[in-house]
Amino acid sequence: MTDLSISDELADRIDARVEHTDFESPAEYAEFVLSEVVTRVERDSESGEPSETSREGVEDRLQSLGYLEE
Amino acid sequence: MADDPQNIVMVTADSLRADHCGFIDSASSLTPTIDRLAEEGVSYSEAIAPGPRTPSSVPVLFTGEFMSDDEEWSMADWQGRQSRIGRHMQRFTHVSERLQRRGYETATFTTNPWTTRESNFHHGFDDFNEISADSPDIDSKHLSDSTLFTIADGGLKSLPGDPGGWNSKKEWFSQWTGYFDLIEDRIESLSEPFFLWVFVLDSHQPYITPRAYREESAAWEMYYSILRYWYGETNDAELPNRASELIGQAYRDAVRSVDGFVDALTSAVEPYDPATVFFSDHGEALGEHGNFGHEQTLYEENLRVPLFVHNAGETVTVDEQLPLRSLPELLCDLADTTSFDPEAHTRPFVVSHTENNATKSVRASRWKLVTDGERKRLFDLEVDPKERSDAAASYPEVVASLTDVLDRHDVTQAEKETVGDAVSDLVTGTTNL
Repeated sequence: MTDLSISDELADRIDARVEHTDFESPAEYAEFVLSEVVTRVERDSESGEPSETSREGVEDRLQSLGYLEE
Repeated sequence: MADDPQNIVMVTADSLRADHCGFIDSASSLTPTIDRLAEEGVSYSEAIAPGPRTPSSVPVLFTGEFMSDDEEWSMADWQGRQSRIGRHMQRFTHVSERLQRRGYETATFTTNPWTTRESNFHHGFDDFNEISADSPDIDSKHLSDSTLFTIADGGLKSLPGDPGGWNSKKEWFSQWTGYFDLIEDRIESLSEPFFLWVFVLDSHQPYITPRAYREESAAWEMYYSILRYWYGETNDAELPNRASELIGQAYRDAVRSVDGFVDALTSAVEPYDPATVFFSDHGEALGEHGNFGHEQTLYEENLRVPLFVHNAGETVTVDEQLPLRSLPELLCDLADTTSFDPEAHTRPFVVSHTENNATKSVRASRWKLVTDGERKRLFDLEVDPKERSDAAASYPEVVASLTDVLDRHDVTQAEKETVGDAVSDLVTGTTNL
């Protein structure tokens, strides 16, 4: 693990957001936020938005396995 | 990270019930290899899936995060459902990526149509192999080594149109015996440390099993049970007892086949001394609560799954609940440490969702609260393990306590969505600079 320092002011603001959630600490919250930001930036530099197209045959596969709603 | 990171093999068996594995239910003798590996390693008697079907389970266990609500999909729109998974997988880091960054060469062979490139499951895999009839990665002959499949496919695909709806039936024949040689070849070419994920469909309905593993069903009984099951589903008809029995037999044979796969794979990877993590992504109903297969329900038969970790330096049975959602952290622990703590990722409360988030459950070892927002049902799993009787009226304090846990979970999910929306705006703003 690597330590990062933040201001008391920011820590207090995160504390307020963490209350009533499952985040066990402000550090866990901060890690969630930072991870999401970094992942999004990395993805944007890779391939942009996820593919919206589906190959012909995917619907058949899903139907054959009972995944499609009637 | 450990000086010599251990190779990791992860096996997911679609729809494998916990109580059909002997290491969880000693009355079952279907899985001798799985049982042996579980008993040699760390076995979890209370592993719980985050959802009752693959689309509500695997994206969560791959990222450690539940999927969000948004308005861009509905259960009736399969492309919307696929896109929703794709957005989720795009948003969060995958366990494969985390291992890749730790220096692992990563490879997968995955059979389920929800875990494709279109749904962004390829992130973090150096080698991504989709096992399907129209896969860009393999020849469809590898779908199955069944003689019937080979003859049918060779004859039917040469005919115009789609006679008999063959294209929508091919996936029924996804059997590990057809593509195992591809896995063997790949293992030999992987550089170490490697992470190999294999997601097998053999225990998924309609339970078509290679002859070598059929001990209870003759071929005609197996196919009859399939057709009878689909007729019942299509016509909302109750299955007669005999059909139910045949489905149970076919399912047990399918479980035997999964055990055969684990046996074969264990032999193939033995020279590489990996840690092996085996689990099912969700369970399967066999007539309980009037259901067969895996519907949008959160009963024990849907959520309780087998899970073991073999060759991680520990031999123990863990009876505390382990949510599959914790798997990314568990796998990273295997990669990072020389001493694996089997109980590090157990949790006193485990939340599960249906795919549309309309129904949620929170499970403590004895109690399970299930809510669809309006109605709340409480099951006493010690006294009523088959979840027949709603105990909510008798234990209002337990309902209140578990409701608090779910409320906290919902507040957390809402906060994560707020963060997600803010990050989207931030990143979009950065991109547009």
